[in-house]
Amino acid sequence: MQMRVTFQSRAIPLQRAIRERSADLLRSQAEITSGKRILRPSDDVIGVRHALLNRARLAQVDQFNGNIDLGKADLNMGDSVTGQVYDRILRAKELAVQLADVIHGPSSRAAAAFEVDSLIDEVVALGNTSFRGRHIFGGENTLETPFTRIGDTVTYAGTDNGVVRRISNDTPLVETTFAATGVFFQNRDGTTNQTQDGVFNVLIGLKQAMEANDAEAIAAAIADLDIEFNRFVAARTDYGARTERLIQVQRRLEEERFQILELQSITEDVDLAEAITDLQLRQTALQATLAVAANILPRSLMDLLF
Amino acid sequence: MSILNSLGLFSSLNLGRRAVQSQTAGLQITGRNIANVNTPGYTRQVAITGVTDTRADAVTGESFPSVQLIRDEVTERLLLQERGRHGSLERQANLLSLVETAFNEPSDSGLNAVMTAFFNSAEDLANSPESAGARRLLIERGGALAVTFQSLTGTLETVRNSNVEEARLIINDLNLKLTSVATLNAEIARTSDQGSIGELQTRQNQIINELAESLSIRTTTADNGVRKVSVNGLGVVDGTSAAAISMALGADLTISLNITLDNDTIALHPSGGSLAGLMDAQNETIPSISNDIHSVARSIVDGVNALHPGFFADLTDPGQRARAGAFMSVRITDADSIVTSTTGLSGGNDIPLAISALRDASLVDLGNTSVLGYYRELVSGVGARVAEMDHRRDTSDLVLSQLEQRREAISGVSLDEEAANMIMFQRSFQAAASYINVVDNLLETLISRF
Repeated sequence: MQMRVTFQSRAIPLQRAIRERSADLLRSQAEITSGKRILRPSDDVIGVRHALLNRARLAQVDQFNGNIDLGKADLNMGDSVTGQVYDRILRAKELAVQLADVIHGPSSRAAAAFEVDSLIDEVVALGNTSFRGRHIFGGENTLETPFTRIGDTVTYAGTDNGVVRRISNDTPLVETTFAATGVFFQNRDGTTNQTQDGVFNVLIGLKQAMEANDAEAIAAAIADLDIEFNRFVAARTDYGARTERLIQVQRRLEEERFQILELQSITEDVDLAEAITDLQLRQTALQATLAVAANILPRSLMDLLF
Repeated sequence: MSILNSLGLFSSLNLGRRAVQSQTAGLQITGRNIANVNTPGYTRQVAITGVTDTRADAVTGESFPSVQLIRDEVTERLLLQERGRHGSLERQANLLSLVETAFNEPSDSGLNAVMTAFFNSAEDLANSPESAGARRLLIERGGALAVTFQSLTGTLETVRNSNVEEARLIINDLNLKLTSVATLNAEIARTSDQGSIGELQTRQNQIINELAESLSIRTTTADNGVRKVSVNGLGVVDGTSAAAISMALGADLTISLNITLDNDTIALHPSGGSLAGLMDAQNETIPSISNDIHSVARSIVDGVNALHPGFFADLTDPGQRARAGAFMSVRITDADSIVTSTTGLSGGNDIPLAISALRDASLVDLGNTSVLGYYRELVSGVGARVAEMDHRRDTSDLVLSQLEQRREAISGVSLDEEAANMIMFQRSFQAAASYINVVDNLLETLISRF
C-alpha cells in the first residue's frame, strides 16, 4: 500500500528542516561575528583542551619574558658597577706603582693617600648602588644599605646569596641581583670573614701604607690590588655569561610564543573564506526550505473543490 | 424470507430517512476530522456508513453508521517509548548546556585565565619582593580566583536548586495527568456512544503522550477501550484508580521518587522521561563536575597555604573541604602581611617562586596532574558530555520525528481525503433526498387517485 500523505506528515519534516537550517545559520552567524571556531567546549572537545593549554602557556611565556627583561636590566647594572669599580682599582694601582718608587717623599704619599681615601668612598658608593629601589649588591637584604664605612673599617650588612629569578620552567633559577660576597670581599683562605681581605681592606691597607710613608708596604699592596682586580674581571665575565644565557632562553621563548600564537589561531580561529561560503550555502538551504514550505503546505483538494 | 414481505412504501420512506441520517453522520465525522487537522496526536475517525435491517444489527451486535479509530498499536507503542527517551535526553542536554555555559571557556575571564593570572602575579612578586604593589596584586588576583571559583560552583548549585523546584512541578503535573487518565477511563467505561468514546480516547491519548515525555510509561488497552498505564511494570493507572507519585530529597539535594499504590509506598526508578533525565543530571552528572571543581580549588588552597600559611582561609571543616570552591576566600587583607621569604629578608622570594611553581606541579590529589592540567581535562570532559548528549538528543529527535510521521501516515487527517469524503457524503445525501422525494411522489400518486 502506498503511504498516506497527510497534512501533518508534510508539516513535521518541514518544521524539523526549518529548525535545523535556522540552527545551522545561527551557528555560521556566531562563528563569523566572533571570529572563533570554538565558542563552547562541546564545539571541539580536543580543540578546547589545546585552546586552554595555549592560553595558559602563552601567559606563562609572556611572564618569563618579562622576568628575563628585568633580569637583563639587573645584570647590565651589575656589569656597569663592577666595571666602574675596577677603573677605581686601576687608578689605585697606578698610584701605588708610582709612589712605591723611593724618589717620592711623605708629602706626595700623603696627597696620594688622600686620593685613595676618596677612591674607597667611591667604591663604597658603587657597592651601595640602588637600582629600581633595591640595592643590587646586598644579597637578599635588598632594602638595607649594604656597605657602611666608619673610619678605616667597612662593614657589610647584606647576605651571602643573591636574589634569583625564574626564566623558564625547564632551566635553573638565575641569580640576577648579587651578594657582594665573592666580589667585593672573599678571604683568600676561603672563609668569608669580611674584616679581612677584599677590595676595601686592600685599599685601606694601601692608604695606611701611604700615610705611614712605607714604600715596602705600598709595593706589597700592588700584588693584592691585582688579585682584587681579577676578582672584578671574573664577576663581569660571569654577569656577561648569565646575560648571554638569558638572551638565549628569551630567544627560545620568543620562538615558542610565535609557535603558540600560530597554533592558537589554527585551533580557535575561523577560516573566514570557509565560514562565509558555509553561511551562503546555509542561507540558500534555509530559503529553499522556506520556499518548499510556502508552496506545499497550503495545497489541498479543498482549494480546488470549494 | 421473501423480499415481498418488506415491501411497502412507508418502509421505503423509512429507508430513505435512515440513508439521510447515515450520510449526515458521515459528514459529521468528516467535519470532526477537519476540525482536528492540526491537533497533535489526533487519531482520525472513519465512518462506516450504510443501512441494514435492524434485525441484522441485532445478530452482529454492530450497527450502522459506526465509527472506527484508525491506529497502529506497534507505532503507538514505539512512539511512547521514544517520547520517554527523548524527554530524558532533552532535559539532560539542556542542563549540561547550562553547566557548560557556566564554565565560560575558552575566554579571557574563565578559570583557566584567572588561575594563570594568579600564578603570574606570584611571579611578579618574586621579581619585586620589596614592592607593596606586587603584594597587593597577589592578594587581588587571589581574590579574583576565589570569586571565580565561587561563581562557577554557585551557578551549578543554582541549577541544582532549581532542579528540585522543576522536579516538584513536573511531579504535580504528572499526578494531575494520571488522575485525568483515570477519570477518562471511567467516562469511557460508562459511555456506549462510539463517537463519544472516540473523542474521549483522543483526549486520553494526548494526555498519555504528554505523560510519556516526563515519565517512561507503557500502556495496554482493554476490550472496552479502558487504558492501563504502567511504569517499570507498576500499574500507575489501573482502571479508574490512579497512583500518586511523590518526591524525596536526599542529602545534598539528590532526588528520589516514590509511588503510592493502595497505601503501599514503593521506590520508583524511571528509565526515561524528562524526570529521569533531570534525576540523572541532579544525582550524578552535576555533582561529579562540581566535585572536580572543588578538587582543583582545594588543591590550590592547600598548596598555597602550605607555602604561605593563612593566605587563603584554611579549609579545616570537612564540609567546607568537600565544597572548597564555594568556600574559597583570601584571608590576608593587608599587603604587609604577605611574607615573601622564609628568611624574612626583603629581597628573598622563595615563597612566591614556589607558589608560581604550583601551576606546573603534579599533585597526587589530582591524579598526578597539575591544577591547570586537571582543569583542562575537566572542561574538555564537560564538552565531551555535552557533545555526546546533543548527539544522542538529535538522534532521538530524528527517530521521534520519523515515528510521528509514520503515525501521521496512519492516523493523521488528510484534507484531500476529507474533501473527497465530503463530496461523497454530500452527493449520497442528495441521492437519498431524491429517493425520499420519489417515494413521496409515489405515495402522493396513490393517495390522490382515491
